[in-house]
Amino acid sequence: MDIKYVNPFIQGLFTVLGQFGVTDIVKSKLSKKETLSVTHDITSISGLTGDIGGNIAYCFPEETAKNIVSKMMMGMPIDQLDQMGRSALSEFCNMVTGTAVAKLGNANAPVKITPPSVVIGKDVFMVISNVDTLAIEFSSGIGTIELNIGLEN
Amino acid sequence: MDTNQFEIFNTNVVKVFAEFLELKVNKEGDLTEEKEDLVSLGISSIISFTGKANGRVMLDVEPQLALLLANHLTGENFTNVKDPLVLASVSELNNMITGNSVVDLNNSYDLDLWLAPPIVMAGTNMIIALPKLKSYSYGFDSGKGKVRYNIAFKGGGIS
Repeated sequence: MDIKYVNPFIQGLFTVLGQFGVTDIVKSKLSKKETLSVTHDITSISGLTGDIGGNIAYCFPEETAKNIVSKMMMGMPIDQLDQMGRSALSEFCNMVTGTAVAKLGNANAPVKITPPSVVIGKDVFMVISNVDTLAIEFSSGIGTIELNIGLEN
Repeated sequence: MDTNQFEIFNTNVVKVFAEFLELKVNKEGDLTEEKEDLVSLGISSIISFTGKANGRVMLDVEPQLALLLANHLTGENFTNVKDPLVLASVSELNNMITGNSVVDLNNSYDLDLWLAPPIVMAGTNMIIALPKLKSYSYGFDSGKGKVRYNIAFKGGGIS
């Protein structure tokens, strides 16, 4: 996987979290998976089509997801991730992917993104793509986020 | 909503189950709009797409049917629905249904749809949300387990 296709997603995450006042984010772990598989409580997935095909999955523990939604709602406490919360989380991931894809466009790689699907549940096992996947974990005061990038091209 | 376009998916679900699994699936009721987020039947495969319409389709099957599909397609005897080959079998089935449907849609309606790679997941009481898009489901009974095929679109003159 070409690093020029990875950096825009990292930059996108930093940019969008920064817009919601989360600036203490650091990369805490990097790993390569043979398939894009995740086991977290909450996963938001967007597909990519065009010059680059694949899937991007943002995985969160429940507390992190609630903290992100709270930040998006001006600090309102979020006790449960209800339908509105899930919609907000999906929008957050759409913003990150959109920001990344705009940067990829600048790298002469026209890409379109599909609407995100949000999957919630304990003990969920998910295989997102049968392609080598880069998993990058980020830590911050709001919790951890795992960004999974599985690109076919 | 153009039901002719949705009907293409319905036709391909029945056709692919019959051709590749020798299993007759019977449609249960009419196309239904989903008002809430979906709770998975057990194993779900999602394929999203872009083009003149954006959205995603989902093939959802009960665990016992997923095992049957995997056993039929591979000749093995699986007992764990989280086995990667069981998940891959459901994913491949969705790939065939959706791939055929998208070719038909592109040929008939010039929608220029492009598919992202399939996603497949297994779990108990998984909630699958697709905020901001209306979605519609066909329900089927195979006699060996239930099947749901859910379609969510915007654009392309469909929604």
